[in-house]
Amino acid sequence: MLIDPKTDLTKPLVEIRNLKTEFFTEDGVVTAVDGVDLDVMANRTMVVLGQSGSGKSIMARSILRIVDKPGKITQGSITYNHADGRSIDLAAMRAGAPEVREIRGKDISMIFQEPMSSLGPITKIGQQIVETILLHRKVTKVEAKEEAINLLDRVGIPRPAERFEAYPFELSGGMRQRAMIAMALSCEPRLLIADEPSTALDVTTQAQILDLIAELKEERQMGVMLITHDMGVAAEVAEDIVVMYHGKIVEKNDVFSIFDAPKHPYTRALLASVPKLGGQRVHRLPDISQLLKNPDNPPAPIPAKPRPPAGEPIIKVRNVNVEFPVGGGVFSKPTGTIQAVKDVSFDVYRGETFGIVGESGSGKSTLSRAIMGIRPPTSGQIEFLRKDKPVSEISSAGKAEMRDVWRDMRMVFQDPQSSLNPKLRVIDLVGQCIEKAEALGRKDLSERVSKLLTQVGLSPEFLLRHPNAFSGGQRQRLGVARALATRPELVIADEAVSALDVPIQAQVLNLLQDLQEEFALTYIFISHDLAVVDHICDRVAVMYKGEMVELLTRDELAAGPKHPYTKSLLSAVPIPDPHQRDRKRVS
Amino acid sequence: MLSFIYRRLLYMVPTVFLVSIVTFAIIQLPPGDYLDTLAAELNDSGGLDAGTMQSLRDQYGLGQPMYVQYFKWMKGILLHGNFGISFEKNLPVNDLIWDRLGWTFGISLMTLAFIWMTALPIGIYSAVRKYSVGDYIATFFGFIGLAIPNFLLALVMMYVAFKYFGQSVGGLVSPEYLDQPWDLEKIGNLMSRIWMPIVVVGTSGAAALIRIMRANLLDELYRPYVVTARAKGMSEFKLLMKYPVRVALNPFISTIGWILPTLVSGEIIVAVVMNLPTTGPLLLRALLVQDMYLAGSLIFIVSILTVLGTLLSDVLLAWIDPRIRYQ
Repeated sequence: MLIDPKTDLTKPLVEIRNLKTEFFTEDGVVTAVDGVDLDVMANRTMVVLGQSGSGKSIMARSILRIVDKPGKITQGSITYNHADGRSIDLAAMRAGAPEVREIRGKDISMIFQEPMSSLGPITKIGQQIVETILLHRKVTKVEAKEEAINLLDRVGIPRPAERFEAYPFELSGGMRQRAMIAMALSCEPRLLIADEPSTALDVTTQAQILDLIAELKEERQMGVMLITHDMGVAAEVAEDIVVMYHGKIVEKNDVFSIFDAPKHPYTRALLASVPKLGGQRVHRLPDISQLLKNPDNPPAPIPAKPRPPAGEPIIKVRNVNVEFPVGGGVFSKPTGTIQAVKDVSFDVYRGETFGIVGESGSGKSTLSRAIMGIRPPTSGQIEFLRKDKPVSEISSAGKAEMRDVWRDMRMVFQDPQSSLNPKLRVIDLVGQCIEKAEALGRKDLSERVSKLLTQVGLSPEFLLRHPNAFSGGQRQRLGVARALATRPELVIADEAVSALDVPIQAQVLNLLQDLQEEFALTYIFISHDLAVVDHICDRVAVMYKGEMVELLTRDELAAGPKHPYTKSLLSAVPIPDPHQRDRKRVS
Repeated sequence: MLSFIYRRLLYMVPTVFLVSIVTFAIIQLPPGDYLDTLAAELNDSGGLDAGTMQSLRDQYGLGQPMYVQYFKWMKGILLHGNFGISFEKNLPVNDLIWDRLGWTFGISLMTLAFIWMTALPIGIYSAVRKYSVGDYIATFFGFIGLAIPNFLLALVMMYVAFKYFGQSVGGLVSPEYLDQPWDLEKIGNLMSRIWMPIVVVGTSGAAALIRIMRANLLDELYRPYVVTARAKGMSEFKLLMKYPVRVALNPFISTIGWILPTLVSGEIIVAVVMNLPTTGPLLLRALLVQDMYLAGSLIFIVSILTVLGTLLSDVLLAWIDPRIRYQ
C-alpha cells in the first residue's frame, strides 16, 4: 500500500522541541539528550551520526518512549502528527499509555542493532510478526500469517513459508535482521527508526540490508531515521545528516554539505579521523583531541614512511588445516567435520604488519588460534622463528616450550570489556605475566607496569585501579600494555579496534604503529574492516570459507584485487564520500 | 522432538539399572542383617539359638552371596512385579507400599502445584517491582521460609491449629473418619487438613523458587528483545508474560525433577511429626531394622519416579525452549 497522494509530505512526521532526556543514577544525573530540536520528515532518510554515548540512540528511543529506567524525559516536547491531521505530544504522555502504544509499531517502528538478542529467543519469527499485525490491524490470524509470509518474502528471505516456523537462532545474522525489518514494516509505518541496523553484520550483508532499507523507503515513501557511528554508512544512505555530540545536535544539513563543507569542528574532526580505503597512505591518523583543540588549521597529513624491505620470516605457515567435529553427543561419535581452515600457507616477515581479512566464519580467528597454539591444526606445520632462540614448531611443542613461546607471541583481543578480568587491579592485570617469570618484587613490578602504562599513553597513576574505571579506548590500551609486558616479538591483534568508536580507533591504531617502530614488533592484524587493514597493514591475506583466496601487498590492494571475492568485499565497504554512492557493487 | 524423547528413554535404561545396583549395595552396607537386629531385640527376652538363626537365614536367603540375592530380587521384580517380602511385617512388600506411594505421589503433586502457584506470581512481582515495598516483603518472607526447618514449621502450625482452631492434628483425616469408606464428607475432611503438610513441605521450595525466578527474570527484563516487543506496541503485562517470563521459566520446570525425592527423603521428619501416611516413616523404620527388601524397594521405586520426573521436566523444557531441543 502506497501512501495516499493527498498526504502532505512537507509536514514533519515528528517535531522534537528542546528535548532533554536524563538518567538518574546513583552517581548523579546524566544528561543523555540535551536540548534537541529536530523535524523528521516523511520520505526522507535522515542519518543521526555520533560516537557511542553521544545520545543518538536515547534520542530515538525517547520518540517511542522506550527509554529504559532510570532514564526520563525531563523537558521539551515530541509532537507526532497523525496522517489524519491529529497531533499528539508523546513527551507529555505516560510511557505505556494506549495513545503511545497505538503509535509504536504501527506509525513508528524500530529495528535494532543486534538481531540475535533483539528478537524473542524462543518464539518463532513468524509468530513475532503475526503478533505485531494482530496488535494493530483488524485481520484474522490466517490473514495475518499470510501477510507475514508475504513480508518475509518481500525482505528477501528465501522459502518464506518454511522460515515462518523458524526460531531466531536458526537464522544467520543477515536473515535475522531481514526478519526484524519485516516485523517493523508489518503495519506500514510512516517512520522507520533503525538503530545501528547493520553494525553487527558483515560488510556484504550490511550492504544488502542498507539497500533493502533504501528500497523499501522509496516504495513506501516512509521516513527513515538511521542511527549510526559509521561515516561510510552515513555517506551511502543519507539524504540529511544530524551530527550529535555530548547529547546535543552540533550540525544538521544535507549529506553533501556535511561531507563537502562540514561546519562544526567536531564534524570536521570526525570526518578526518576515518581511515580511508585507497589513496595516499598516511603515517598517522589525525587525533580527534588535537583536531578539536585546533579546529581551524588541522595538521597536514604526513605520508607514511616507505617500509624497509621484507626481512627474514618470523612465522612460517605450511599447509595448515583446522577441522572441527560437528554433531554427536556424550555417547555418540561426531557426525561430520567443518573445515574451518583449508590448506593455508604463508610467511610473515619480521617487522611487517600482516593483515588477515574476511567475513565472520571465514576462518580468520581459527587461523590465529592455530598460530597461537591454542587450537592446534589438524595437519600442517607452523614454525615460529625467534631471534637468538631455536625454531619452535607450534603444533608439536610441549607445554614448557609453549609457555616460552607465549612470552614472545602475544595477543590483543577484540572486546576490551570482557577480555580484562574485572577483579584485578591494573598492576596485576598488566604485570601478572611477568611477575612470576622474572621474579619481580612488588616495587620492581610497579615500576615496570608504570613504564608500560606510559608507553601506551596512560598515566602511571592508574596502577591501582580496576578495569571498569576506564573507557573502552583506555581499556584497549591496557590490553596492548598487557601484550607488550613480556617484550614480545610478535603481537596478534584479533579485531583489536573493531569494538571502538572511530576517533578512539584512530588513536589505538596510531599507538600500535608507534609501538611497532619503538620495539621493532611484528603484527598479525585480523579484521573484517578493509579500511583499517588497508591503513595499517603491509600485506593482506584474504580469507573466504576457510581458504586463503588472495595474498596482496597494500599497493596491489589499492591497484585492484584480482580475486572476485576480494573485489566484492572491497566494493561492499561503505565509502565515506556521498559522491561515490552510485558506484556499482560487485556481488 | 520424538527422537529426543526416544533417545532420553533409551538413556534411562542404564540409569535405572545402575540405580538398582547402588540401591542394593547401599541397603547392604550397614554391618549385619535383619536377623542380627532381630536377635539383638530378642536377646533381652531369652534370645535365639544358633540353629534357629541358621534356618531362618536359609529361609530368607540371607546367607547367599550379595550378587545372588540381587539377581533373585531383580528377577522377582522384572518377571512377577514381586518386590520381595518385608521381614518385620512378614507381608509382601507390594501390600505395604502402594497405598503409601500413592499418598506420597499425590502430596508431591499438590505441593508442586502450591509451589508454582505461590512462587510464580510473587517471583514475577519481585522482579518487575524490584526494590519496592512488596519486593522487600516477599524477600523477607522468602528468607524466613528458607531459614526455618520445615519440621519446626510443622510443629508450630499443628500447635496453632490445635490451640486456636480446635482441630485435631496428625494424620490426613480426623480420627473419626479413619475407618470409614471414602465419601464426600471424608474427602471434605481430607481437604480441610491436607493443606497443612503441603504448606509445610512446600514453603522452603517456594521460597527458593521465588528467589530464583526473581534473579532469572531480572536477567531477562532488560534484554533488547523486551525493548523490541515494547516498540511493537504490546502492553506491558502481555509482553512480560510472552517474552521474558517464558524465557525465565526454566527453573520452574526443573522443579518437577527434584520435588519427589525431596518429599520422600527430606521430609521424613515432617511425615513422622505430622503422622502422614506417606513412604517416609515406613522407609525410616525399614532402614532402622534393616528390613532390606522393603527399604530397597522404596528407594528403588522412588529413584525410578525421580528419573521419570527428570525426564518429564526435560521434555517440558525442550518443549518450551526450542534452543534445548536442537542441541
